[in-house]
Amino acid sequence: MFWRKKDKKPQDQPVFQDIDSIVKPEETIPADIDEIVKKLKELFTNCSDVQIKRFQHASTHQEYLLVWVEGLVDKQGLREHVLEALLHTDGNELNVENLTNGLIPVMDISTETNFQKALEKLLVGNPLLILDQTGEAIILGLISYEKRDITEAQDETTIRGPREAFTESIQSNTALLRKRIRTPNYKMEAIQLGTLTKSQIIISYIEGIVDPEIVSEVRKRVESIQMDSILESTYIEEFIEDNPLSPFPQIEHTLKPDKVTAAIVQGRVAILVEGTPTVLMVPCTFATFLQPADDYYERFYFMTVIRILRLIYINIAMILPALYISMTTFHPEMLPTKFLITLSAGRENVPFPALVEVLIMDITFEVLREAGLRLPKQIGQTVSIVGALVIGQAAVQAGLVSPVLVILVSTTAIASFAIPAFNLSYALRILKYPLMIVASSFGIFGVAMGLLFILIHLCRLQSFGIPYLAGFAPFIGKDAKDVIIRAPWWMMNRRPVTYRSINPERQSITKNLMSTFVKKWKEGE
Amino acid sequence: MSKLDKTIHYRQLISLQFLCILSTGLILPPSTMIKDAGPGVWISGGPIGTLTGILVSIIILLLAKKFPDKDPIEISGLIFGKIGRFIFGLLFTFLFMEIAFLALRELGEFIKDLILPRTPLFVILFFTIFVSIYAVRSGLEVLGRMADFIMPITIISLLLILLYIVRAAELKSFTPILDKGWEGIFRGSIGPSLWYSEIFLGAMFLPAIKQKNKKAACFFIPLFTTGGMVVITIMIAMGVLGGEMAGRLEFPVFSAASMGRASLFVQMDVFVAAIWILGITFKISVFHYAAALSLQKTFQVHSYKPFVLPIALLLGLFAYTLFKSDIDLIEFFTLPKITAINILFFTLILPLLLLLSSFIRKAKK
Repeated sequence: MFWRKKDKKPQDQPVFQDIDSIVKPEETIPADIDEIVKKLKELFTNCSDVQIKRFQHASTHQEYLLVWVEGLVDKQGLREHVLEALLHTDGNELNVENLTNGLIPVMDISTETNFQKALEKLLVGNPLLILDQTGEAIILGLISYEKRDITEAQDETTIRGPREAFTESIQSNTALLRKRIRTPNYKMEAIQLGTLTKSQIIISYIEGIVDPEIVSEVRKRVESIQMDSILESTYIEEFIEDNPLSPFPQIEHTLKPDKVTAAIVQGRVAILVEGTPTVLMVPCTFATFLQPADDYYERFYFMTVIRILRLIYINIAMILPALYISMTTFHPEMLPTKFLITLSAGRENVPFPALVEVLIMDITFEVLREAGLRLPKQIGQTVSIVGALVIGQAAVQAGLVSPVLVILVSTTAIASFAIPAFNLSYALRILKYPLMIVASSFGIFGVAMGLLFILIHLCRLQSFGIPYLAGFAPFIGKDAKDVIIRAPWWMMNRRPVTYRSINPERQSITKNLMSTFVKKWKEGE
Repeated sequence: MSKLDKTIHYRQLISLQFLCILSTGLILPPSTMIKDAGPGVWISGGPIGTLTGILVSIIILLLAKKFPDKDPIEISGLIFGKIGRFIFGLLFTFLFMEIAFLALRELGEFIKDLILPRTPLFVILFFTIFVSIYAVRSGLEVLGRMADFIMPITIISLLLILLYIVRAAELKSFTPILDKGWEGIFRGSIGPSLWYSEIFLGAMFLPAIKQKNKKAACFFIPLFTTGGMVVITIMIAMGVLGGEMAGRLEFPVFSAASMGRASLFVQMDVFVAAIWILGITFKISVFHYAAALSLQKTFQVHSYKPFVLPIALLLGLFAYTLFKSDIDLIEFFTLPKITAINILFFTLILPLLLLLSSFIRKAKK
């Protein structure tokens, strides 16, 4: 090139004192207690929640230091089990070895000599106990902080089946899963991410069922994240998905432990993130977004009907406005004459072309939806009344839109809300607009081309090496019983081929009473 | 993890071939053949037309047996050496491009005549090629998956539409079957033999299928199913429109679908159009891909992707400039001499040449 970028000036040194300048990464805890206190005070200036307390044993005058973070510590336990034990010991017994070997009645107890590592443990919530002249910190596992109770999953309600949902606490989340999968093969690998938040990420799967390549790929992708903070699972999701620019969601998420369990048992991998109740499940296909938990908790006939309906209304949510535009603009002959007359009479006073008409209504609707989401419940009702009046009646009476369009937009909206996964519904709602635009300039030809373009895109997508449309394209006959219909449980003898499970058998076919019964019944016995 | 299999399931190749043949077979007949064949046009469109396809398939399968996991261009390289590969490669590239740009122009004319009369042809071609480039760059697996997805949609909706309009059909259009004699029927089958011989496409993809023992199925199943579909559509179009009318209209199936009016909420013809647009765009992408692939094989380079855009530009150029109007296009399809020399030379004569010379070489040794 003819020009050259000027060398970047070295960035100014940050004004705050870095932790490394006070405590070097490999520095051990100094023996002298005064020095420790000095360093800690320097580190935790203006940290009102960090408590540093010095104590002295009554008889031997042995000094010891207790450091903890207010609010993250079981204070009662600290007082009753630690302080009292220290008070009542004979002064000569007061050394690290004795303390860790049963003198302090705390189960989770360990020692650490590295200063920075000890500080990390402290900030997670473990109180530190440091004896003078030992250079070793005793880490007391007395973490206890306020957390939300396990409640019902508000966003994914089912009529039948378990109700409990994940919470923000990763310990209770892992417990919810371990409660359901009682085998030592169920693994939960912990990874720490986020240079500031130090959030715990847990990759969980069942060894011997999941394809090990998928697990190692997940591990590799998650470990490569270099972010300062991980606050929600979306942070992880956007880093590890295969095609980050696609509008389609490539990672499934849920609040329900039973759904995660079902996924893990099928040979998939779940990723739990500290501080958020949403859990990610990989790999996933387009079909998984159309399989909510209650599909499997209700009887199969009705759920099969619902599945087929679902395939119809995801299409409605995406292409109905585009079809309306192309029909009114280019192919009025596509409609029956009587209906065409009604439609044209309704559109007679509308001053806009069909595209603008649909856009007005659709954007109004999206704004109303967003407003309803943001407002508190009490005011939310007002918005819906105003919305109903504005959209439903006033707009038609004022001659802004035709009456048919109101039905159309509301049908589209209802169809998009009926999609079980919200992130898929977002994708379809975004894609609705480009389809509308091509429909307004190319009619049904544009719609067909637009749909073909989307189809090519979907066929290109992959999720952890698994084709996104697996089940539909490539069509997998063995999986069709859980993709297009929902077969009864006694027919699901194998895990889905899609997820490449290394142990495909789910239930022994010979021992399966129901399927042998059906076989006999078919043979006429 | 790019665990991309560079292979496709044999079922996907079947769907792919099926869609490629059917999408032409669905829209043009019987208009181009009816003058020669008369009321017996379904015989020339179905049973006799497929004969050429069967012949082509047998030649390709014999070649594939002699040279497993090789496509025709590599085979020509093995038999005739570098220069042979070069000549055959360019000829096959031209064949695939020709099929693609004919289909492209067909689509353009169809859209321009029946759906968007005031849109310039250029815009339609550009839009189609744009989609085709995206599909071709995605590779064979994606084309295979698309075939898996589009095939059932096409078959189901087509059968539904045909069922819907079948009540308007009258049997008297089919008699007398041999109105123009056997000669007429054979002459009428020249057009269909062309698109059935497009089954040659499969030869390029045979090395890519996973199930090596299912090679024959990839040729005969699509041939017979499309044969059946074409017979059904021809009969229904003839029955609904009557022989004379069907001969005069440019896109008789579409017109027949528009006859089945009034009782259903939406008219059927636009849906026929939508399905056919899907099918023919898919066909264009497949042949576009085949052309790029054969150039890759000819020059033995690492990837086919550099050829995608130049071929797309040439396709657009040929489709836009080679024909003055739709009448020109129809004439091109109906002149037996041109077409017979044209496509049959590539799909039938060239593979036959390869096969014979491979025998001769063996005999020499």
